[in-house]
Amino acid sequence: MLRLLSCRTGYSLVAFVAFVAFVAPATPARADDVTPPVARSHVDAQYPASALADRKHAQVVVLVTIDATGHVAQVSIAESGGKALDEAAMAAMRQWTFEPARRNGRPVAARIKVPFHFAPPSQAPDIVPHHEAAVAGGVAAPRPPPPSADRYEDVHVEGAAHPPSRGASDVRIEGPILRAAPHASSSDLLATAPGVYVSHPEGESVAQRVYLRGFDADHGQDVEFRVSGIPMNQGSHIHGQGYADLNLVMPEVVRSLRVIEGVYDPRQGDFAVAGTAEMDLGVEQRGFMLKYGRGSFGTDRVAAVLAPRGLSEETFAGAAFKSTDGFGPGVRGATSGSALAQYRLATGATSSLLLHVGGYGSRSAVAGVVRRDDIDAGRIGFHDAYPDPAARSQSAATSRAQIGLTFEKRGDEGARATAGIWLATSGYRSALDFTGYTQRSRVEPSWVGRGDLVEQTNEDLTLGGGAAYRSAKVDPLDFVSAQLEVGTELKTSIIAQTQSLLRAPQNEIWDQRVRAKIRATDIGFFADGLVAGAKYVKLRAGARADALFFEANDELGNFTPSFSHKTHLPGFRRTAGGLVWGPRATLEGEPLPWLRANVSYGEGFRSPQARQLEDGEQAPFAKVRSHELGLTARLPRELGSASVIAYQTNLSYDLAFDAKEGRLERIGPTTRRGFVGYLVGRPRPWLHAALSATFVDATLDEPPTPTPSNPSPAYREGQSLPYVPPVVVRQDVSATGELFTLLGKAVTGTVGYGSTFLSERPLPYGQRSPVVFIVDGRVAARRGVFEISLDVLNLFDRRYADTEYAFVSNWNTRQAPSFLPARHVSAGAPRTLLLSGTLYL
Amino acid sequence: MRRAFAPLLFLFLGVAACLRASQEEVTYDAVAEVRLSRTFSSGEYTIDLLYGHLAFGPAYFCAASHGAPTECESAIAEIRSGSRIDLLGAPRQPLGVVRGFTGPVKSVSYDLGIDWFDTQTSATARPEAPDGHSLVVRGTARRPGAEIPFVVTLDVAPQYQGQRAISTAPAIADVKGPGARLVVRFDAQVWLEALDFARIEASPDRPYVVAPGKDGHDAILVSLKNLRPPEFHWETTQ
Repeated sequence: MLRLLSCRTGYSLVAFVAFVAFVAPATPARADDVTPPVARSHVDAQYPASALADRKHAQVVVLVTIDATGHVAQVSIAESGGKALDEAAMAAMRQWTFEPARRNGRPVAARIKVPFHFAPPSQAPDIVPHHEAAVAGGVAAPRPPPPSADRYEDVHVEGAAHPPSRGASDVRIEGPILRAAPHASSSDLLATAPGVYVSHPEGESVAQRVYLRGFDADHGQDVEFRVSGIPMNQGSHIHGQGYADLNLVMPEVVRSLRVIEGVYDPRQGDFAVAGTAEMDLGVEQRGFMLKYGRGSFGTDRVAAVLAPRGLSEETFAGAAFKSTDGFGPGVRGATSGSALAQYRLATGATSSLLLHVGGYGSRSAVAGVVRRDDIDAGRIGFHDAYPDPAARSQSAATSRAQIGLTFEKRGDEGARATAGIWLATSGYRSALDFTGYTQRSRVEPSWVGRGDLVEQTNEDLTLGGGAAYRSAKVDPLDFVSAQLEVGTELKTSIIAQTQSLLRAPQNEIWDQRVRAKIRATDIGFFADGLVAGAKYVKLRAGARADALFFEANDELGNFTPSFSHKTHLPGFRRTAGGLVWGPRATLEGEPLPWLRANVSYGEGFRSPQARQLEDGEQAPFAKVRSHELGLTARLPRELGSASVIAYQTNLSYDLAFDAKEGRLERIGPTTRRGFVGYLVGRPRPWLHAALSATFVDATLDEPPTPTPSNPSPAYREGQSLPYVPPVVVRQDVSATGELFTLLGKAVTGTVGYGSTFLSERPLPYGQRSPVVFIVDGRVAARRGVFEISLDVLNLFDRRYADTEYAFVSNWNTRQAPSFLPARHVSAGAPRTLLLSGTLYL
Repeated sequence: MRRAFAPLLFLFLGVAACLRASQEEVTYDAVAEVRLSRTFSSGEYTIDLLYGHLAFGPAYFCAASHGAPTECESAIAEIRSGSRIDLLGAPRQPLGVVRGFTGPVKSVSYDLGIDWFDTQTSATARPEAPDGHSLVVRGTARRPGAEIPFVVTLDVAPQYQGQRAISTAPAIADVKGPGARLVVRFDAQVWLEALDFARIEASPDRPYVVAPGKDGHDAILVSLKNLRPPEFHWETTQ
């Protein structure tokens, strides 16, 4: 402990104390509190001269969209009173201004109905002075209703409402905290959630690796990811179960991030083991944004976002392109491009459609890992890659395109119906060498020492969709209200995958390990009920059931090595299926006006990798049981909120990274116990801050059984789970304010930073990875339409292992190889600068 | 509130330090114990040895009962250096350092001065190998009326690429922690006693070189590899 405290934690303590000094924020992020827009100024409609002849009375109902700045963005007729009256009402309506609607205190676009009643002037016309000239002839001008929200009908806040909170571990992170520190990719935004650490050990074209509350979720095996409601996890992916590449999303269009840490919501589906992270896409600042950045290691990045004014925040189109040489000796170069567009189309006063289209492609060189002992001996630099052809031939390429269409209709008293369909296709190819020269060909066992460059390919086409209906709230008793939601989700995937060994640099195939085609179908059903007693107690309880079906055509199954007598041809086709269900419930109470307490329980699951199933096997889902006790206090003076959470999760079997195969392998049941502290708020109007500290004791309950080839598994009963940091502390702070006036225009400045502290991480075979403390910072100044910003990642230029492993490798750097598991490092980036100029139109 | 959080952070860090590891790293010395007299009798012959060197290492210990690299991909301990043992030298000679983890050891695979690792295209003698061989012994066999100088040159090479010369041999221990010492016993006298000096005497070659294809070579090889192979023992030093 002394070792930890004395040498590693100084920066973290300083940062922590700095935060506590101005403690906490303003808006509790979870309450989904919507206030309608309020008219600031209004203009009366003129009774049109052309209608005077008819002298008719009529009501015109105008459907008006008010953007987040309070301006009228779009006007249409919901109920017509005739062409002339419609035009008069619309002309008036366009001149109104509003205080915008607010959700959780944040301005949002909203759509409302405003009725205009037209009556002809019976006597002296009621002249509107400033339009008098225009209505010469004495035109009756009916008064619209007073500018009070009370008269609006069907206030409709644009976009899907935030779902109800499932307890203290259901966290929504909004823009100011999301953007306090720079984030190289959208997946790095996840780091702002309590207990999350994000790394990129395999470069820019392989999905992020995520750690959440004691789970090594690898590329997505334990965290369900959704973007605008579309599931991102890919079942049975060759590179890791639940592989989810979030690089499709450019950070500029992430409006908020919801992270449920645990499994307490019946909507959480496959891979929601540690929890669920959902990116809510939207652009608050409307207009056109063009950003160009140039930075360290030959990095160029261009991003453009078009968010037409007057349309919903969820309507936008954006694209980003990036190229970089990467740090180190030219082994991390990458090129990527992504485009994402959404359009929310109002189909009625209470219904809308959301169209989502996205695409992404990337190709990068991968530096791979280097041995700690080679670094310590000076045989290789920390940020280098082995000069060996097998190491220098590592690369990854990926692409994904997806399209989704969601329909939503709202009713009275919280009723809501949604239905959606989506289609996604993706390609993945990596050639990675973690172990150097240790592999022997299984096809030709005499072939050995040709390099462990493992090539993996995965093609996936998935069609999915779902529908849900939530009833209106009913009040069976005076002090009790109830509501029920039922829904279904389904997806079906066709997957083709291979794994081979390549000999660099010609990439000759010298062994084949996998060649398979998989069909997987998941049909899920959930029910979620709410029973609320007065305002003090709420019980949200429900359940989810999933039926999964697999067909695996393992073309290399029953393979016969070359030296064996052949009695059959290779191939092993099999089918399997399984049912899994689990209850989820959160009991929430408010013992004090400023204090909310919850106790939650839920069961979730992770589907199996189809290729590992036997014929007819009941699919052995990994089952997780989550327990939580949470307290959330609203801090005085609306400063913010503070939460304390104690939790335990039990997982029926866990997976861990196997370097030899370059993928996940089973290790046994595991348990995690821990607690979380989380502060978030706005201590000053110009200051946003969040601080979280997560502790977890993650242990292996039963070790894997020794096998002849692995008689001494890296795992023992009761040992700390490898790779998982027991302590994660995260801090995000941003300050914005007017600095000075330049040439008649105000210059606004923004400064922010995010820091991540990881305690020592256990590794297999009793090894440990040292403490990590990283600070990222950002400064920006904006005058009018132009902004200049400087992003600095790894501000203090700390040398740290992004990810560290322990396994056997042979990089031919010594005469006699070592067969002892050794520490290997995937280096984190040194200090990285990106200077950007942004034009807002 | 500020006062409350600082101790909390210390608590976090303190508990984090209590990681429970599966195995602990351990390092200890290895020594060679040789049984070979400079002069000994073999049948009616008196053997006088002038020179005797054996190459040993590297050695990889496995937790399984079969220690071949194809069966045991991760070693639990290893001596990665090679050593040249003076068979006529001190009774105990250093064999390098054993690095590895605590836990049971059941087998060992090792080379005797000639390697054929995955990345080598052919079997190659290490620098420690005396004259490029695994074993070199020079001496004279005497009986009344006869004096037969002889040289033994033995190559114990791996059969296949990626294998060790001795692909597996028993080595039983349960290493609990530091304070251990590995003792490898070489009964070189038994190996040499396997030579049939009467047949050697019948040969006109002087000195008689015991080499592949010559009388005595296979006898010594079988004795070294199978009948009286090196024995691995662990002793405590504390």
